[in-house]
Amino acid sequence: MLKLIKITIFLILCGIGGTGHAHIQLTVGAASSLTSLVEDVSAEFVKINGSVKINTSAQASSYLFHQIKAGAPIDIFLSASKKYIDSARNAKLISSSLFLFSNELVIVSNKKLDIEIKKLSDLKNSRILKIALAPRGVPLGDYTFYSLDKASLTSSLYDKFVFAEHAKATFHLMKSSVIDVGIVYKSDVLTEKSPLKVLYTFPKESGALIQYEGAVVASTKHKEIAETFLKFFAQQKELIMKHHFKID
Amino acid sequence: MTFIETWQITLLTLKIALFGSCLALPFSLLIGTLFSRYKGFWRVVCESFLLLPVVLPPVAVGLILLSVLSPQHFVGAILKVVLGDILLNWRGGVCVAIVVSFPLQTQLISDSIRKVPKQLLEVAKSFGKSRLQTFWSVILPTISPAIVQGFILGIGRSIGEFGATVLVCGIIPKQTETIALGIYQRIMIGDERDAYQLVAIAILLALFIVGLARFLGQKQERNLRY
Repeated sequence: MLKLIKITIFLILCGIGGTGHAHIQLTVGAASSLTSLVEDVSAEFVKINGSVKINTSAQASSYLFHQIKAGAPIDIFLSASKKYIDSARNAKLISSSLFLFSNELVIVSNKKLDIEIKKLSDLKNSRILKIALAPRGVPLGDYTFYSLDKASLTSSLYDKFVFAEHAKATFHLMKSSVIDVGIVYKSDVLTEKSPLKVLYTFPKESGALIQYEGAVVASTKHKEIAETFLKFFAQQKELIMKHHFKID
Repeated sequence: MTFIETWQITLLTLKIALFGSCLALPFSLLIGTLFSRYKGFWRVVCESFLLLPVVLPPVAVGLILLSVLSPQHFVGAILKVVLGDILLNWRGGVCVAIVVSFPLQTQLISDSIRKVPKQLLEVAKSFGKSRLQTFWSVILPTISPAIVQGFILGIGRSIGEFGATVLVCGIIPKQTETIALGIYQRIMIGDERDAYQLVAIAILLALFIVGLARFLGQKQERNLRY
């Protein structure tokens, strides 16, 4: 028994080794919807700046904000919502920020509903029984409800809502056929493999301005290289469009 | 998901769990011994506080730990100077693991100490052994299966830890991505097959750990039957 424990501990210590630390390590805190884009951009960046290693923590933007506020060693903050960058700026947590790109909200479905959605209030149609959407508090939900509130539809549609924290959760619900339509980012739709139909795209007038903004955290130990990375990230137009975000 | 990736995630999870459960043991022994000896109002109060990590939603524990371990506050500042980065780091994961292992171990140990047959203690006393000597030579060996069981359950609990870890450590591949965080992340980005792979590993680990703990639990019962 004791021998087994010793062997296990030895194996684990072997795993601890890891890579050397000769490089500069940048920690990027990125919104979950940016996961694969950041991976691609980081790979490109490292091709040019070989001495930099980029570690990415992809989480909800709100969680990242709390971590930065608590002094976590994040160098760059890529947020799905301007709101968190503004809060960070007000709390004097960031040194510089940059607008990245936009996204759009869409209503999608994987069922044959035989209805057209020409305006938001068409969601009141009795053939739409359940609507999957993100709750307030996460960027996707904030944008969705901003538009719904503005069109005064929130209370009349409330009984149809099924809350899903992010697009993937919505797609899961769709696959189990428990919902009729879902409200997600356009960039999420085009990454989903199963057949989905976009029934409606929220126009600019609906109010929800989905703007991804990036910032360099003030407490970073690698200010110059962080700023370089941020500018580099914003300039990767091809990759950004490849991941279906909208460049204004 | 490559084999190496799976291996890295599993090793990291085990590393954090092992360190956490190990480091929690001394505290659990100390507090467990105290709890076994004293009864009454204050013990209940202390016990309630120390058992909080079991009852509180893990994300609440995470928020509290994020604040405590923050380099802007006292404890976090000292830890950062002595050990380096704690937040967004595997060391933060170890801190979480300590906090969640501790209540489990303390309960097991204090219950076990209380069940040590009084005759054994009296015999030791009649031989002129002091309380400390009795603890070392009688109590500790008798409850050793409970200690090991607590150690193993601590590992099990730490492997399952998510809510607090995601706040304190973030989800950084190769550095803080444990099995639990890995499953969550893969579902988020749509790699469901990989998520299920990790779930399978989690199940295997869990079965092994629970089995081992139960086996030791039976051994402990045999130890106390004189």
